[in-house]
Amino acid sequence: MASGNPAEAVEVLLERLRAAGTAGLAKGKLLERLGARGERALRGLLAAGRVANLGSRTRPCFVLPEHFQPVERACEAIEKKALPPKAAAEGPIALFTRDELARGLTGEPKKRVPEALARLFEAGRLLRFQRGRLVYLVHREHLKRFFPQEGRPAAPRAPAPSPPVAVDREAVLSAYRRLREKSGFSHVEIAALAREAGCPLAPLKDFIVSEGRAGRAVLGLGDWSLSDEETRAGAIELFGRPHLLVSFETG
Amino acid sequence: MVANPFEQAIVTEPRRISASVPGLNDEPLERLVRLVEDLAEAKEPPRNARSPGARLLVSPDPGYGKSHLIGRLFRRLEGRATLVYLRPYATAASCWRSILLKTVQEMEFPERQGLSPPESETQLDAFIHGVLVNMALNGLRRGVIASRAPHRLIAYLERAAIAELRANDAWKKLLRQQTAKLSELLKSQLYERGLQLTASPAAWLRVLVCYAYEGRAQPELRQACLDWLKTACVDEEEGRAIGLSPADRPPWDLSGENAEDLARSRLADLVKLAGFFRPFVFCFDQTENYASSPGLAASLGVVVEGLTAECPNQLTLLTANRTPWEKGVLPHWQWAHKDRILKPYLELKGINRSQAAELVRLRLEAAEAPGEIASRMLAQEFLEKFFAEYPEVNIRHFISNCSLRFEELSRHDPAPRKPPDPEPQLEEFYRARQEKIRTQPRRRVFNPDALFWLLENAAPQGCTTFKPKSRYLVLGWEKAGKKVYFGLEAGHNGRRWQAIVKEGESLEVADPGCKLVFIRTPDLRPIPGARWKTALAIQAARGKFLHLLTLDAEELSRLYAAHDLFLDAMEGDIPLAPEAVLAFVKQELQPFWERVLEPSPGNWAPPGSPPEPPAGQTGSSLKTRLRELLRREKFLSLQEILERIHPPATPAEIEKARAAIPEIQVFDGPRMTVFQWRTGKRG
Repeated sequence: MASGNPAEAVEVLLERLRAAGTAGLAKGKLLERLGARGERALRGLLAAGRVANLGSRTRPCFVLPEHFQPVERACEAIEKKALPPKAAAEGPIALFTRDELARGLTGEPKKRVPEALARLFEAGRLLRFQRGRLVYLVHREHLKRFFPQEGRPAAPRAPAPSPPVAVDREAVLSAYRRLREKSGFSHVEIAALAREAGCPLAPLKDFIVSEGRAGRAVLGLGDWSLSDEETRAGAIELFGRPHLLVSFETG
Repeated sequence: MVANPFEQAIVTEPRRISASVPGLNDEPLERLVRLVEDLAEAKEPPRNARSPGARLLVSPDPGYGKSHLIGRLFRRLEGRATLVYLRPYATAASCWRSILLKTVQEMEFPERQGLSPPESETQLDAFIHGVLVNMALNGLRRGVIASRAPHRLIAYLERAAIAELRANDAWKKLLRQQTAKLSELLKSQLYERGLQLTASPAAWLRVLVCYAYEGRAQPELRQACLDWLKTACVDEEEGRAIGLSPADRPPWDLSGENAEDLARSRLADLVKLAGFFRPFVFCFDQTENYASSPGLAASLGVVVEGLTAECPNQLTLLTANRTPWEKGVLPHWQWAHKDRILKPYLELKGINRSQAAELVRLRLEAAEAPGEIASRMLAQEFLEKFFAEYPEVNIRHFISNCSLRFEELSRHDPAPRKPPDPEPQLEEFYRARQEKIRTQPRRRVFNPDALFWLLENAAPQGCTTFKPKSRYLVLGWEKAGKKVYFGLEAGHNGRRWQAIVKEGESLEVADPGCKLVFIRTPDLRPIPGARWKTALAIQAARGKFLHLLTLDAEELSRLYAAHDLFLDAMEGDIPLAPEAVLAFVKQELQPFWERVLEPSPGNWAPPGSPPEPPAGQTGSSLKTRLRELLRREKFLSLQEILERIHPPATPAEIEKARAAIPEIQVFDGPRMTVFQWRTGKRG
């Protein structure tokens, strides 16, 4: 794709980043066939804060600002590492040090590891055990098997809510645009949107409600009798009636 | 007490809509108006303006104002397009006939809303006037029509009103005497634009001229012209009087398939002629009902394809709710048919906060509601609750809530009303539809789709339906070994009715005790025709197996209201399941079905009417027949009575018989004598 002028190059870069969503793009992929104009456009976008670098200087990973969530990414990586592999579920509990859990992270998420650990401790998802000067970290999932559901003593305090699964706004809106384009209708099924965007229904519904409150989403009843169970699962209640469709103001 | 201005939340008749909120769904309305204007702008007449495809007006669910938008469109296009509102047809096999019939019926109604047919020119009057005048103007401008003062004539024709031309003998004489020359002119003008009529241009001219200029004095000829337009077979004698050659008259024994082809080509001819005048707008509403069977849904695709491919000078508009359209109708369409609907679709939006306030204000103002109620309804806390979560809501939902709120405020009772019981609600919905039909002459016409739907779907308990192999009989019922065959014939052709009688005779021989029921409506001419040679045979059949069941206005409203109720339930306009509506309709129509099933010919007369004289002795009581006719019709001109009374009677005989019937009052006007039935006169 050739871009005739800098403004076009800017648009191309933004479109590529929109399509990439949370995964972002490496520099080579982002500037593919854009040459010097692309370089200039990218510098401008970084300076204007319209593009962010989630990676390092040497191994950049460019994303749109709404996907620049280094703490969340660090949380995800740490939890993934701390969670037991299935095979080891019955064996001894694996202990990790802070450095072990942070290994492999680069760029901004690496810089934000302290914040991520603090958040996981506060949410009770990561537990600290101390021996001497050494502090070991354990994911709470490891301990579940020792506390079966029946007769489990009441938690000393209300369990902290799990960190909200972040809905990728741009990914949802791009999925919405694709569905709208395909069907020709501006109202799309909420369940189909979840499928298309690849996100779970519950956070998507929260997202729709929040978009509605901001005046950017509108619900539609659809037809309950003509809808299958999967479609019905997407229903959001409004005025006591389940609404199956949503339409977004996409500008 | 002030009437609840929010009670009306459903539009059942788009030509009768309440005030619109400025800005609400203006965008699709303006786009549609522009599309129609584009069709009318191209070149000088005759135009061959083609819309690239049909348009779909879609809403996410019922209650967004589809029918209301059609009403607004009709208001905007009044006098600028021929407007045709099409409710769903019932069978795929007769879809083109149904569309043509409804088109002609719609054209018979006034151009301007709020006027009744005698007060106003009809859409058909305007259409004929436009076609003839523009054709003549073209001829004069090109010198094809010779005139000593063409410029003066052109100037006259350009500003002449319909009534003026109707009184102009020279104009009428020109049209009558120069038919051959004018039909050539018509043909060549259309040909220049790449258009060709399927019926002969001479036949078109004769029918249009006869309807417009001779039909007022001879209602039976006017009716025959309408029959020709509807592709019903025309009586030989009437055909001759109009000037139709035998080849131009639809054959009386057309098969269903051929009748469909003929109706399709007649509709195409009509819109080609519209190139001389103004475009047609065909609005297919309540399309959810086409989802009732795959064949019916597929046929709508064929219709859309046919209209867009073969019919210039028209805009096809379909309305739909998103999910039933996408899941019930579209899956049965071929790809080529789907492509005939242009994207992007026209989409309806919900109502927002400021529009909601405006709607409340407009309705309260129109109802002259007390200021206290108005201020409480317009209060922030009432309106805000609808828009706390989302910026737009379903319009009907909002109006329904306003209605409840208005009632509460009117009662000074803060307690919210309990939801109504479904059963009385069903009854209430039904009565409301019945009342609407009673007050709308537009709806009190022969509607074979509604009648067929009722016969097929609302048959009484214990009846099984079957499809007879017949050209004239559309459906049959069997109950306890007895068969009833149904026909829905709008035409008035002696030979066709003779064939029906013959078929009935054969059926009676094969299956003694069976009967043939032909349901008729008051707008159809009586059978047999006054001068038919077959009249005696038909009358004799009426005494044995042929039941001509003519509905009176009350029965008609009852039947059509039942069909409307079901359509509305299917569309989601009323909160009732279609199955519940169907059960109610069967129950409600039980007395009527008993009349249909009545085996004894002696009891086939409508309840309360004196017994019909036996066949062959019809001349015995002109007084009885006149009394019965007026009792049923309430209001008829002398001409209409002369046409309907059988055997024929002279005006003097009618007058003599009338003088002996105290319930009939006569009004002598400058143009006609009118007879009115007055129930209070007796005793």
